[in-house]
Amino acid sequence: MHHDDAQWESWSRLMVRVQAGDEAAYRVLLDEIGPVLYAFIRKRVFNPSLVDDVYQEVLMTFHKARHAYEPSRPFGPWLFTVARNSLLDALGKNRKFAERELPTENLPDRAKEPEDLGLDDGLLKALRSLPEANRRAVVLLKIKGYSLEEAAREIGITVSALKVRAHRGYVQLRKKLLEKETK
Amino acid sequence: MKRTPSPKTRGGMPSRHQSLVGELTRGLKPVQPVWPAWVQWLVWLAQAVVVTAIALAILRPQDGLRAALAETSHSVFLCMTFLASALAAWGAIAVSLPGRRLPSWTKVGAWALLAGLLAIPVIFFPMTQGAGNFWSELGGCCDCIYIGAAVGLVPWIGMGFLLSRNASFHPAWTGAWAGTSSFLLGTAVIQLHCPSWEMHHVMVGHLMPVALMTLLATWAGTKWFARWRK
Repeated sequence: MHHDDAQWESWSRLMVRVQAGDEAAYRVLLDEIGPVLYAFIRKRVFNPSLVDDVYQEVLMTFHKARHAYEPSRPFGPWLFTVARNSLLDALGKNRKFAERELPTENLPDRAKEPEDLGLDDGLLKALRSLPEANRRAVVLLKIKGYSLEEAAREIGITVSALKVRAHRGYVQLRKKLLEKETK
Repeated sequence: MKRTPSPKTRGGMPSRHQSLVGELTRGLKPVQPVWPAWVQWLVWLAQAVVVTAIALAILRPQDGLRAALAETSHSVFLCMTFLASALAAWGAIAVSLPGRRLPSWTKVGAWALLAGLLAIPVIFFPMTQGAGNFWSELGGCCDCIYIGAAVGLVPWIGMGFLLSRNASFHPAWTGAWAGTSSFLLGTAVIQLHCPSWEMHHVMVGHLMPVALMTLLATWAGTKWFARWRK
């Protein structure tokens, strides 16, 4: 989502009014930055059931940190620092909670179930035909949106090894899809 | 495993957005914005000058300080101590304010200064024959250790109050930078007071307390600088 400088400046001015205790300005600001924060979170949290909880946590942290905005500084970096850090904290708490509440043997191996991802049949077939190791790398990185570090940790290999597997997977996938198209 | 998506309102926002907005805006109180980082650093500087002046007025500078500082390695060591303290203070302030990144030159500069502070005594300061036994050194350095730690404690407490008003997402780092800054100031004061420039004494009596007290300050920082989130 792109926002121009004028938008950020307007939010910065609203934030100054929020610091002065202006309820109406706060309502406007939260309604305007809410979608930005929500999109930011959705892009980084892959478990849909956690997104709303994380959003709540981020807004609460934003509220507690509102005094720490320096009006002379740009609002964007401040907002995203608050969002990123509270998101990481919220995910940390949730990971511990999830580990306590859900026995891991009951959890599906997410990387082995691309059919659950609602993918196009052709892509699904091409994915299934990949060697297991390369398929897992492609699914985690390109379909589930994991970062390199997260995916490497999930599989239990180094980032470099993951890059190699993913690259091989992309090449094989491209070849399969092109073959299908030409048939 | 299909997951039921949570109910969404207009624009794809979660339904709890409106209730959260209502909850957060209701009875909103004005807050005192943080001071700009450079103002906080100037407050630290003023505090450092006052603490150094008062400590030296009480402890008295060493006899022959002018002659000691005529030695280049001594004056460089002292300047580097003050400089590292000032840089670490900036680091503590920057790391405790969201949206401020600690420039890499600050980190590199601080580490280079700290490495220099360890290297200069080893390379340039005189070594007394027979000295070097850690425990015997420690016994002879107790006064310097206590005084250095006590002097550093004053700016650390002042800085702690200053930084606790910010909103640090990295309380341990904030504590570490603040501890390094404050206890290096203690080292600078003790170096101006204590007439010994002997290498082992400087390492054990003047620099070791910085490391120990910074560890404590880091631990304390995890508690103190995380309180704003409670």
